[in-house]
Amino acid sequence: MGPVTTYCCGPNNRGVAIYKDKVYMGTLDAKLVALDAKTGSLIWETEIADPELGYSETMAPTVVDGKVLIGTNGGEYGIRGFVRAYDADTGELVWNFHTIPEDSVGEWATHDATGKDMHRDIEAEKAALAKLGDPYKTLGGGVWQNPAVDLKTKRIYFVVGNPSPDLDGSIRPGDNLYTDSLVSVDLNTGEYVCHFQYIAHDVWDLDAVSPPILVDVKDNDGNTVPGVIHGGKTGNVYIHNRDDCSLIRFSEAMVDQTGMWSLPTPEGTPMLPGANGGVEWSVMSVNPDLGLTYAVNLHQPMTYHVESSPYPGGKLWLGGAFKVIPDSDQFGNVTAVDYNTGKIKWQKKTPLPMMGGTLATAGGLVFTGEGDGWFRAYDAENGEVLWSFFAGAGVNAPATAYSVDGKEYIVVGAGGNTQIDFKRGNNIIAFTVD
Amino acid sequence: MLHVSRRAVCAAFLIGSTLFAGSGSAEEFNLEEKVKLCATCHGADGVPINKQTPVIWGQNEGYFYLQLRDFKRGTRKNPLMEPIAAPLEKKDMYALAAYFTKKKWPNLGQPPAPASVAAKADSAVRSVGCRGCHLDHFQGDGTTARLAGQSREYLLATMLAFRDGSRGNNPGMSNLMSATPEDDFEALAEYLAGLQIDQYLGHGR
Repeated sequence: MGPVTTYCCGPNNRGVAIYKDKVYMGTLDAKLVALDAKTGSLIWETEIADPELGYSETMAPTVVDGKVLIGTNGGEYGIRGFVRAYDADTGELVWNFHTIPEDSVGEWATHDATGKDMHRDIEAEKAALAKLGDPYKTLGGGVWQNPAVDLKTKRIYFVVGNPSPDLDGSIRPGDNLYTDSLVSVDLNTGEYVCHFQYIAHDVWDLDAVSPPILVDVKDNDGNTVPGVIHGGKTGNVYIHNRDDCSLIRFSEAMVDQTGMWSLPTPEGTPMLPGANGGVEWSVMSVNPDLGLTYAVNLHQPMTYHVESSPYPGGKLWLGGAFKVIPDSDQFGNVTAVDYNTGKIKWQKKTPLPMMGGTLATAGGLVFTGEGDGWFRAYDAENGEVLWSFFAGAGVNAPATAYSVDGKEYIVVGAGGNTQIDFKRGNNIIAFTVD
Repeated sequence: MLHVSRRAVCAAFLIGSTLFAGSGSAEEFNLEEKVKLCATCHGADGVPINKQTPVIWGQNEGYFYLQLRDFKRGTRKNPLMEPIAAPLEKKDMYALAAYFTKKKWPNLGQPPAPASVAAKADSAVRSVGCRGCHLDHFQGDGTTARLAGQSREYLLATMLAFRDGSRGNNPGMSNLMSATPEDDFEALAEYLAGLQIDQYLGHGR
């Protein structure tokens, strides 16, 4: 790896992908590498983008149908985001989809996906657009997490992160498409299929970062349709029709949303959720038998500050600051949401804000870890804690399940967390399920 | 007096050196000579000649490179460093960064902050999330600077320079320092300067 790494929120790696005889990994200096799965030797390496301009890779690649799918980080550095497909054998670029189109203006939406007024000054934005032009070249729109792949329709679904700079909307007029959106493109060509924007012209960094999940859902007529669901940083779960990305419903708020959407000010405006959101990068999971999805939440009161500065050429570009309110009460939740009604089925409070994710098993369990080192199993139906294990460091990654010769295992990483500073560790821990 | 005298010597030497450097546009890069030039102010043993000059021994490689690049571009202002960086090519900056990052971070003998100062600093750190980039022991990484054990006076001056915009090569840092009460800066500088972290890093840096 080269010396220049410009990433947000800690030197993270969210995973690797295995396909045939190779292992694929993104690097902090914005490279994609393919390794021999048996020896670890380098087979090919390609520079995805220039790290000096703020591009980096913390996401895990997804490999399907001979293509390696990967996006980019850099929404805090004024990049122009993308999702790309590379040939799994050679590393050659197959297609590129810009998450920021050249016309990023949109329809001047005044309300968010849940109907809340975002208090946009549309006239001021139109004046800025006439003066500055479309800001698409430095508008951000990173993609943090894996796309979901519909092998039947050959479409992929991913969510696009915040616009750059995070808090200062004055120099990026318009809806800032496709930031803060669910987007679908064709797996084979990368051509646009549909999108749905949750927050137009976001100035709070309450974007879309938790990976979408494909699951059959009830539409508003009670018919079962192919759906795609996403847990937003807003603290709502959004349920979409997979066909056209349209929003079927959104869940009750899983977190306090007091003051939403108060505009950032130079002195700082309090608003909930804080900028780490109601659901951060944490992955959700589903139990289709129960019709429930499981999210982990954060409650972190913050003030939102705006301070304008011009594009800095690949340096941190926030357009202000988010500040945790000192001595404020912080905690987390594990929440089960009925995605066919939008109602919260159960919710369990945790001592610390939650970041990592959930794993739901067919056996009716939900596994998730906490920043203080506890890894727990919950009853999927009612949230009762059934089992706990102390891992010694923050369990801030989602668990996964596998089986060997019919024996089931649960495995999880206990590495802590940089973003909200939970105790670091260096362990991968596996458990058997008897 | 010693402090003033050393600083004057450093500046006088550099003015002569940089004038010389600027006279030959096709000057061939010589790492050993450049290292000697750096030592004039940053210290032959890694301890800077004056307290306003940062420790560069053991600094993170990417950060080191970006600062040289920014001095060359003029996006980071410094009358001594800009002419020194001006003739450097990218590969030269990489070579210097690779050289200095391998050096052992010097102990400036700055004591750990008293508990009350550390608590005040920690509250400020948590409020704007300093550890999110500078990491758990303020060791930094990649293009993010190590702050632990840096000169207290340099840290304070740098935070204030980010705040007032006179250091303009990282607007994100300027935003964060603008959002931090000025009253916290003395505590932050004292706390960060007094951190001894080699035991955590385990590799002598």
